[in-house]
Amino acid sequence: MFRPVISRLFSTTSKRLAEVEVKVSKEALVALRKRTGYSYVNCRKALVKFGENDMDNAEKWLKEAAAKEGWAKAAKLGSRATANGLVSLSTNNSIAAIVELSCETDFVARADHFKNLLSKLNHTVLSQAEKDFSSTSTGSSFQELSYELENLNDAESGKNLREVMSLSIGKLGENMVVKRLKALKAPEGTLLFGSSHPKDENEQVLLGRFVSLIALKQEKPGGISSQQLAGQICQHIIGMAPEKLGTPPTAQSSAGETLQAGHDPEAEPVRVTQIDESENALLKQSFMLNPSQTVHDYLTTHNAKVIDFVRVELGSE
Amino acid sequence: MQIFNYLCRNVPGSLKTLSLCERQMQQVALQQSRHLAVPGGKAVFKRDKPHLNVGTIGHVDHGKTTLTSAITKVLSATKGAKYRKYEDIDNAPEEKTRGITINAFHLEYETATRHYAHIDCPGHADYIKNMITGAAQMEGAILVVAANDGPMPQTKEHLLLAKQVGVPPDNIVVFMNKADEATDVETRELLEMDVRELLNSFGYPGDTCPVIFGSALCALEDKQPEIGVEAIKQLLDVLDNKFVLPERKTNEEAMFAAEHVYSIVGRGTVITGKLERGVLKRGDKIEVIGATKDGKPVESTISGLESFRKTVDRAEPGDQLGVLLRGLGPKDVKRGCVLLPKGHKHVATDAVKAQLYVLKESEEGGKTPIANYFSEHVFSLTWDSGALVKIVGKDFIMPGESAEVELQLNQRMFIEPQQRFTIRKGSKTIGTGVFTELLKPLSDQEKDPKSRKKLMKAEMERLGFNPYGELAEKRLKPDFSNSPKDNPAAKAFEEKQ
Repeated sequence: MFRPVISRLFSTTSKRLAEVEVKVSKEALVALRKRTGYSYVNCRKALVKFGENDMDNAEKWLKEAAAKEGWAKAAKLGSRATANGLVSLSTNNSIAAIVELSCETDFVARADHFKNLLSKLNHTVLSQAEKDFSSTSTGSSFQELSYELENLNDAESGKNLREVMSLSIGKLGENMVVKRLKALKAPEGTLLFGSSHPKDENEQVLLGRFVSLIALKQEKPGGISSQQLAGQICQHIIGMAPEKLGTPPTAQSSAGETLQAGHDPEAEPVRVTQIDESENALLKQSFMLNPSQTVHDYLTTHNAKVIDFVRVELGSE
Repeated sequence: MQIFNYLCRNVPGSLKTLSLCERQMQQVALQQSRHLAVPGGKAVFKRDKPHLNVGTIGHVDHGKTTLTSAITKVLSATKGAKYRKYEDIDNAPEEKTRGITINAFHLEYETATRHYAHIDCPGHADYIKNMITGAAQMEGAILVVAANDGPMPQTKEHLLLAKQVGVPPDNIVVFMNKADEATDVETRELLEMDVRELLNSFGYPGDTCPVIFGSALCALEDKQPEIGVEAIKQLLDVLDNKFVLPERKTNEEAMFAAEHVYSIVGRGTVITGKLERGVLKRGDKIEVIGATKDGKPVESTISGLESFRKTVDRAEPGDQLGVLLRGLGPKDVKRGCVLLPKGHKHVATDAVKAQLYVLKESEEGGKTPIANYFSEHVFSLTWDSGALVKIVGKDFIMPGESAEVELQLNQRMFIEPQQRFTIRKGSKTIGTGVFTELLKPLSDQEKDPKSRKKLMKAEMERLGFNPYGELAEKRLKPDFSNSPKDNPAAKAFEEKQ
């Protein structure tokens, strides 16, 4: 969206640059602002310092100033509460990366800059994890690795992630905190699948206030594709917040629908969807997308088993 | 005619009517005390100026709270507001209270010509929630941008919000705060250009929208009046003279929702309830609509009106009434139907679009989300009905989230846009919302469970993925196993993966 604007402005700028001497021209200010995205006040400072013909140095100076300002701002805002943000999830074969980044308002959490930053953090963790995980993984649960921001560098710019963060804090003007930098590896022979809610995607990274990840084993194909099945189970996990896998239920659950009376005692009662809210074992829960059967029943009809799962909610421990 | 007398004495279900009588007595007492009010009593809200709901939006550090405080300070000079200090607003109990109205700071002030309610919320979701629950509206927006920073990457999101909550194009003004930190003309011009461009890109009239350079802090500290107090006055002038008042419903057409229906042998049928708006008179030709499957209205004439055992010739809004209807049997009307004057334009419907907010556990709501095709129990006015929920643009709605939904009711009901409803489960309210758009009543085919299944399947195949997977699994599973290879949806889905 901005590219045509930039090129247009650049062409007018270069024309005018020759005419204008010392005074900072609007065109130069606009050009520098579009090029760098920094505030007009700072762009003006840079142009006064280097003159309009030395855009490169002006930009360099601005970036250095921004880095300084970013660190200063990060330090200044550091104590403010960050209750909003997003959780991100990306997968590559059997490896997944989960990164949680929090900020102060959901306005920022909705902004592209924030999403791009989070995707960058996530990509970095995923590629690091690909090097760190041993080639085979046995057992029946996820292997887990946690990272520290200071120990990771952005592949693109080579910058330390801490620095990448502070630059963004300077730009967005809100405190931001990385709450989670995690990588997981699924057991051998399972399908690794993840989902987020509310569903959003940016540069192959799933974003949302919730994410879930499962390792699914399917002996033979069911009525729907494995991905579709895994996606539904992931949705269920986000929605119903199971805390453990649990054992298969022994008795049929009676959940599904109940009758509820309205204002008029003589009228036919209303049928409402009913789910047992207290059950916290995944396999025993009634399946969110069809509450008349349990998750275990649903999986069985599709010849599938959930080996392990992870659910992350924004702001949870 | 002693309809109420009769009711109170003879009908067991009229306990409510009795309590209403009592309430009326209390009201009488209240009115008296109001006349005798001693100084220091609670002030009575005077409705002598047009009212507008405005809100501030902008980056956390750009001075929204300072601006709000400055507005109250400037207006307190003319007794148009109570001066609220920055700290008072920042730590206001309103900001801390929990519950459904929450996470909004709300205050009022008035200028010479208008009365304002002013809202400030910390986040996007909070504004949306307030809009849906009706706790606070925003009909005009003050976009606060600090001149030293200029528009932030997230300023777009602020404008998007204004659009979403329906701030009309004329009702937006930009306050360039901290103008003392950007004093040179070029910088100001460029800032203005930037913000105007941004406004244009969101469909707001960026070229004509007022942009005011000022400093809320200067106004508070009585410094540099040209960017301090004067800028605030300029801003208020825009609110007074440029912002348009939304069309208030001055709908005079009578609307009366039936709470109870009684039949009196030899007299006819009486419906009781409150006259929501308009005027009813004896002899008025009326129609009763809603609370029926076929949606056919019933015509009748008002043969008697009574309020608290007294005959009433002319009923006015707010009156608790018993309305005697000529020639109607006990089955013709029931609780939940609505009485309208003959010649009205309303059509009862069973399909409607709405904005729904699902309450969190901490708001006394439920733990579990509402998913597509859940059956829920909807209450609005005096009616209630089972409803199938279709969610637009989301897979499911978690507690604490809001979404656009389409509701398919079991019966055709009286619904108007902006009418509010709740969803209850047992004794709990798990959702609250506002109807936004009436849809065409469902056809017989749509209501038939079998063809519903087919429609869902068609929808799934049309989309090529499975947002209705829940239903597909619930009801169409047999179809899938019979013809898994013929289902283009599945293929499309796999390709997508």
